[in-house]
Amino acid sequence: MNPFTALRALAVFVLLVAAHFSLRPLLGGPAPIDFLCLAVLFAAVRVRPGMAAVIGFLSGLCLDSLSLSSFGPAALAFTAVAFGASWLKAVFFAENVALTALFVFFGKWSYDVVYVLISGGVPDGQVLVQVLLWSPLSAALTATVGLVLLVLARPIFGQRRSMNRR
Amino acid sequence: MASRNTRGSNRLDTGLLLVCCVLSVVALVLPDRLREPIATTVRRTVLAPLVTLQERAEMVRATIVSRNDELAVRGVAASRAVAAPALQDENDALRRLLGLAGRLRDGFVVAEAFHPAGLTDDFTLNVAAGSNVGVRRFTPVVTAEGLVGIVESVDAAMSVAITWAHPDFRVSAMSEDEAAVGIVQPHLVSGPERYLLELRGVPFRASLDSGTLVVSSGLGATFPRSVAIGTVISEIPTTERWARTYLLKPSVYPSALSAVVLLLPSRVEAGVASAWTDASAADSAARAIVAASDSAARQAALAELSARRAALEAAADSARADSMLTPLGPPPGVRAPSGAPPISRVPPDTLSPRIVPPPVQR
Repeated sequence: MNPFTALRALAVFVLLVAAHFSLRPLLGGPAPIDFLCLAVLFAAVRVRPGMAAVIGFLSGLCLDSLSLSSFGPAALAFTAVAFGASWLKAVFFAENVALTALFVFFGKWSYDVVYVLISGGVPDGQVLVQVLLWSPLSAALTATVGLVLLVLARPIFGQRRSMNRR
Repeated sequence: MASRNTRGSNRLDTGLLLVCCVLSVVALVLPDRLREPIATTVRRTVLAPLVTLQERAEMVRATIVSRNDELAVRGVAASRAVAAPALQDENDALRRLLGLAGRLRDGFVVAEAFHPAGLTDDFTLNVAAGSNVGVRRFTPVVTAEGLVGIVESVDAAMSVAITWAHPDFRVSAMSEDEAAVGIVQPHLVSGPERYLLELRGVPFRASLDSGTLVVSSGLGATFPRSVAIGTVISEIPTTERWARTYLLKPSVYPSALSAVVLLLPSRVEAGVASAWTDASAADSAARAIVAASDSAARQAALAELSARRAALEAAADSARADSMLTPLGPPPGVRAPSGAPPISRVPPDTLSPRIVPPPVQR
């Protein structure tokens, strides 16, 4: 990854993180769009799995520091999801837009499942509803937004194959 | 060489993954006293601008939501404020109607009344009851306050009634103490007084005071006896020397009606006893109590009364002045009536010539 491409990817990452803390509270709703997950996933597919794990860990740790009930589940979940995303991209080299949406969907859903199971912040009776209803809805919404962003920001991202170091 | 590099990279990736996972697990099991300083440090350094951003976004959302709530509350309050007096009036009317139904007991139909806005004149009323429930032509339409009108055409589920303001409307009437009788008809003038009534043909010797209740006499068998029609406002000067004409304030204003009572033939034949006269006495007593307790209102009423009297006296003076210009009494060659007609010859309820009263079946 050349410095200019890395800078563009970093800008997109920062914008998505900012959107997570500004647009997401504005939109609200029971199935919110997870811009931070998008940022982690978009960054993870452009770096090696180890680096992706570090990005996921740091992002999750930041998220955990905002939560009073638990500390660490978001870090663990994002570490796993980011590493998995980076590794899967390295294996499949998927450039298809629909596959990317599917990738974001499963990435976000996996994060939610890991987070809910580890944090224990969701009441027992609500776990299934959260995992099987709200999380897929949120993941679908996030995937849709990710798809739109990917199409809009394609000039910024450039050719992904060229950005991948693998 | 390349294979070694790849293997090294894979080991590095795996190592980083393991380190991150271990750190995450450590964070998970960290006691609160150690966890909180780390979280606080992250919040106050890296996340400080983002937290500020989030707070502002939350404030904006809260403002939008509260604005919507405020608008909704304002709308509800405004609509309630608009509807409250109308609802209050309607409730009062319905309560009074319930009282009337209790006094009548049977032989009547309660129905909704509505004005056919824009389709006809102001003197007709649609009633949501028809021949299905026994309503016939010339069925009297009343409320708890008094007489409204008479049904002129009947369908299966709906009827059309003319109100007392209709030019063709007539009802045989008498004062509450039966001292004076006459025919009540609309006051056919222009202006606001169009919505008043006239009691015509009252014998000259029968003088009525202002405020006297006028009720139906029951003659003609169209209207039962003792249905309140209105109260005397004043006498109207006329050229008739053998009879008096009085201006009446109607007991009911049809424009504000929502429900009415239709008196079926069985109730008309059986009579309504003192369903209106007792109620009006009770209302008068209540009004008197309220008026007595409110001196300001009493003074205002007295002032209004004196102003009204002054206006009427001025009108009477003007009429007298006009009458001086014409010769007194009937013209030469025409014999004046020898006296007032006997009380027993009370004119019956009549309508216009085109409306034929129903046959009396007793």
